[in-house]
Amino acid sequence: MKIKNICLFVALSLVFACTKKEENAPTPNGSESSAEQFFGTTAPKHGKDEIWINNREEPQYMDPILAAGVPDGNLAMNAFARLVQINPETSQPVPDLAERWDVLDEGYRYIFHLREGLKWSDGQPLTAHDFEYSWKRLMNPKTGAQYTALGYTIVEGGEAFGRRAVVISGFSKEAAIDTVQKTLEAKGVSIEKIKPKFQSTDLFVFVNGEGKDADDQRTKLINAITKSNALGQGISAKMADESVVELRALDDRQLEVRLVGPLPYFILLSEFTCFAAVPKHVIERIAKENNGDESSWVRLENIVVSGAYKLVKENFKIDKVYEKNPFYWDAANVKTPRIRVLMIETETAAMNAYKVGEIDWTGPHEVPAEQLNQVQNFKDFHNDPYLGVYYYIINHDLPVLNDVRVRKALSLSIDRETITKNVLAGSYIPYGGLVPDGLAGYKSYQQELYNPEKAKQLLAEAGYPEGKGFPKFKFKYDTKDIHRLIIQAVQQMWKKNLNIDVDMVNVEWKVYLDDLQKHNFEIARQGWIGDFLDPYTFIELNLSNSGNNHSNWKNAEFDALVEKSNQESDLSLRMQMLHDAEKIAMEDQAMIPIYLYTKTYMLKPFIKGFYKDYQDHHLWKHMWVEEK
Amino acid sequence: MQQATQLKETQVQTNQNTIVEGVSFWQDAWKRLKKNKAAMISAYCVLFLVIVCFFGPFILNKFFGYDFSTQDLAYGAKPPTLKHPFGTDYFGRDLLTRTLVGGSISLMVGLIAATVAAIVGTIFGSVSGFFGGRVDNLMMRFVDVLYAVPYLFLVIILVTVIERVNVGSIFDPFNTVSEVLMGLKIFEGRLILLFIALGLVGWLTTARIVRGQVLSIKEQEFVQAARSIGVSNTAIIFRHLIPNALGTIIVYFTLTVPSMIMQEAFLSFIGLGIQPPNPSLGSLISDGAKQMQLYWWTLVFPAIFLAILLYCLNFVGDGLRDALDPKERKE
Amino acid sequence: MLFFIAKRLVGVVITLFVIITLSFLIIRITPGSPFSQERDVPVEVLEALKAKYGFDKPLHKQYFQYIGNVVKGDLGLSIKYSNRTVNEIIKISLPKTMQIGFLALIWAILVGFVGGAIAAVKQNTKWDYGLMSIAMCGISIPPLVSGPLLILVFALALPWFPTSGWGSWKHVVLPSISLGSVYAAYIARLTRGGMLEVIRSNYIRTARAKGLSEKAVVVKHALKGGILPVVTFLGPAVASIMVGSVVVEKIFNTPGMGPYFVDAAFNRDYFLLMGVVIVYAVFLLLLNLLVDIAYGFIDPRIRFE
Repeated sequence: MKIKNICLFVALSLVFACTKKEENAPTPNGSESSAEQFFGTTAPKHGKDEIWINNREEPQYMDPILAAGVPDGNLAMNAFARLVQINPETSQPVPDLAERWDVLDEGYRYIFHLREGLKWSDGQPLTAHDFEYSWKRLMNPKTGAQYTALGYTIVEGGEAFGRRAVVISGFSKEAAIDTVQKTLEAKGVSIEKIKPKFQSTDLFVFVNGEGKDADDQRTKLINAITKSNALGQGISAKMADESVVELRALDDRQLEVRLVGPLPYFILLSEFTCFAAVPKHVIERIAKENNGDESSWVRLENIVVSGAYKLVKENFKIDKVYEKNPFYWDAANVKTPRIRVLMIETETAAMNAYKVGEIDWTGPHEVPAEQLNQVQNFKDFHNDPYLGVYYYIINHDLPVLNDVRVRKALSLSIDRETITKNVLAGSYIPYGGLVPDGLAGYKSYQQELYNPEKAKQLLAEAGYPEGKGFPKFKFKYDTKDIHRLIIQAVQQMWKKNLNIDVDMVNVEWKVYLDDLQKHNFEIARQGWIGDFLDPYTFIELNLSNSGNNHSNWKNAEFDALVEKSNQESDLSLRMQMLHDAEKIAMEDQAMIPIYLYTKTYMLKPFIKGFYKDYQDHHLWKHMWVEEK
Repeated sequence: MQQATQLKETQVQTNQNTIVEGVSFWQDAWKRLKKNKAAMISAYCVLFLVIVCFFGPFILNKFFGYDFSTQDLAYGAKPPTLKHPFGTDYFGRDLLTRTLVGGSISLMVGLIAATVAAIVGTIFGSVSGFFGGRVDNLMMRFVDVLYAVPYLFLVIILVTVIERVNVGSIFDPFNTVSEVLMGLKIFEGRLILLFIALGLVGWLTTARIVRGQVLSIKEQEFVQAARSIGVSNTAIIFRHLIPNALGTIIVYFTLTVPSMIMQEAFLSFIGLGIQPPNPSLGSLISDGAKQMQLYWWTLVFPAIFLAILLYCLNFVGDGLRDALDPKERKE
Repeated sequence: MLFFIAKRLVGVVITLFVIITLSFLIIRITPGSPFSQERDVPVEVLEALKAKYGFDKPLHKQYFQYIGNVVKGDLGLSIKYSNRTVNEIIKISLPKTMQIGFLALIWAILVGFVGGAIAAVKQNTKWDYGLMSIAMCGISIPPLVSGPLLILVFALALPWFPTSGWGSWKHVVLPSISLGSVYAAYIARLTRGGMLEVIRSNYIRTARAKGLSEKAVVVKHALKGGILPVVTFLGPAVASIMVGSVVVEKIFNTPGMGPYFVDAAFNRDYFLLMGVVIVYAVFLLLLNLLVDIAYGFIDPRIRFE
């Protein structure tokens, strides 16, 4: 008897505790008065000289050239200025450290003119030489920058430096590449490709292999030429160094760059954080003091910046305080003197902190899917377009899945509308293309989104009527709630529409990355956030030789079109080529797009100068606190 | 005191000679257990919950067509109604069905892992405590090593290895039964891994605690007496030390069951536990905790269910302890 | 006694060495690399990164180098937090975790021990059932649930405490309650069990028979018996409390050491993970040694061997 009573008591008190709590939560569409239009507090807990921002986590790198994830990027882009910035209202590139630039040789060559009197935050002059140093540092493999390829693939000669090619020089006239390749291969060197150096008779030789193997190949190659004179007397070979890169400071205020093609997205790309200037004088001093280890130059006591804000205080994994950099050329227009950046790691904690006013903006965090229903009618909830596509990839090497009809059936039987509406509470946009629309005027190719009848028919044509005999595939995904939620729904849709079963296999993140790299999956999920505002950042994913093409989808026609578009200086022709390429990929169902990302966040109404941004880049220098 | 020792002695003697007498110890225990009302009610409660957990989903499926995995996204999460007494979850699935299936999975996980932990831990701990000295030192250092080695890595390795190994067909009958009852195979893939992973760590604390008890008991007079008349080490461990430490072992067992269930929840929380759409009480509660501001019922019902289950298990444990306590035999 | 401790300390060092070796091996044979990213990283960059951390050398050379560094007190470089050493990270985070842990421990022992003792003395009464029900709730409501609940009530509904973070004494309160409650419940159950064991034993009967007052029986004998299993439990429990709880520190966003056990494992931050494992192992070994010494004081029949 007693026990039952106690059980009952416990049960009742739990229910009571919970229902009571329920009443406390404000309901946007309920009986709440109009004063309750905001989810969080509406008066700042700080003065107008300060803004409190969430950065999600302690950055991995503070160095803008090494910056990898979103938390790194957000800090680096505010502390380190580039030549160009994006006007937040028009999304067009406008001058930052450069006051103007000349486009020469039909788009192959650029000269940037830096502003007069630029200074680092320690008062030292900031010159074009700093930019030359910084960009070459980005391309230098020894730096270990994740985005190194963004730099070296666009600048003439950059690839030779970045990928450690061997330079052969001493030819009196243009050498026949075929003959050179044959001669060297006869000496046992495994060659990936040979490229001529720009306006020179020199050749760059790229060898095959990784790590020590590749080094052995390089040594063998250099020995064959210098010691056994394989290509004749007077021909020499050495490792490519930074001098082969066609990038130089003409004087203190002019920077010249030669590109590999008339790349129309170059200026937009140069706004990316990794193209920021870093202080050569500081880095070299630190390296000297620490036996060549330069990594501590970004520590509080050493850091010197070029941008609007300078780090003045930090507590590891708690917060960082930035103050206005008086040496920034546009310091007069930087509105808020202090920015406090907090490292709140979980979404829920960020929402809580926002609610009571401990932060003014939830930052890189999304609003958790389960909470969207609760907050989406509040005025301080925002949902902006975001430059990213969420999609499923299929291993094209596997039987059954390499049948385009099967891939189409899988795609057509996913009800994307239901996923975005019901699973994700309406935050994302169902999508059937590879590239988000509207990038530099680009029109994306869209495929049909949902047609279960057609899907059934296609599957039957492929030999699996009503899903009979269809093998049970494994759907691999990494540990994150949102993927689990979506895949659970997709699993059900495939079951219902096609009568096929898939197993969900959850693997831990680093193992997942490993598996993708090694093509050890059947079906997997992926998301891609664009690096710059041009369709190329998405199209590139499906190139045969792209390191990000995990599905092993290969199409020569697609590759050729994309390659051609890079040499095309007519903008509308180029866009048409990219569109055609996208159509090829989508008609062959290279991947299964699910939705376009949007960015959900909470922002206090008193923060002004905060603009919607397709890349979710929000510069602090535009923001200020408006007092009532 | 003398009496108790003698009692033990006669028991050992008789146990060695006849089987009938040996059974009487358990009969005796059963008699005493029956007298304990709280324990008996709780035991029936547990039995009831077990039956409901294992057969409930089958009945719900037969009569209402509910199952734990089919979604109704348009319906979504709705508070309790007559149709769905526990409400529905985010995917519009009947929460009662999910709680029952989750309950049976958690019961399996908790009981199997805790039993393994109790058996391994008791034997290991009592051997270590009984022999003492160098053996004890070595065995306890082994426990220390296992304690400190990063457990998560073992799980990650296990996951990647087990993903590629097919489990033998000996479990097929169980799987067939569980598929009919609940719509999923119990002994497959990640669930097997859970049993192994939890068993790996569960026994360590039990071993330390039993060793502590044994260190104390073995110095008591009746053990000394048994030694002096030449009872073998094995017999001393199994007939004297373990029965006398049984109280603590059982109490700790009742603590291990929830902690194993919670450990499973933690593994699910970081994504290495049970695989959706399969539910467990732990994963239901951790999902519910995330959504409690909006859908309180997704937390409350699984949590209450777990609390009741653990509560009853606890009383059964207490009752068993009293019933099995050799010192209580005369009363 | 001193000899016993000295001998055990040597054992501690050897055990520690075994733990380091085993962990090193397990960590390094786990699939996945610290440098793998969602975006493809060129091989030349990977090589440079590997060279920076010495991963280009054969494993046994890395091992001996690591052991050498550990002996010198250098735990290496973190990979995830690129310009920080593991020593620095532990130095920053451990004291914070220990503050929470210490508070949690105090209240867990206080509440758990008193509650358990009352329940044991008043066995099978309302007190017993009531207290044990609360204890069972404590056990079945893990920090996973109690953490968000505490935030909901004491930070959002009633703005008494900050929601998360670090800075003042207020930041320590909620996490330590959430962390301590489970331990309090365990301690209560174990205390009750241990005391009942003693209360029923012969020497208590003798004591009672001799006419010793009930109070004296409880205080002099039963409490002592109640302590034994609790002390055993506390050894490893204190070690894990002191190095922090993953769940609690994540929910309250505390910059402590707990989350590294999971995060460093997931990031494959090899040296940071080894660092926290070593800290935990040292705590664990020393506390277990303390427990063994304490046995001797609590129960004189246990001899130091």
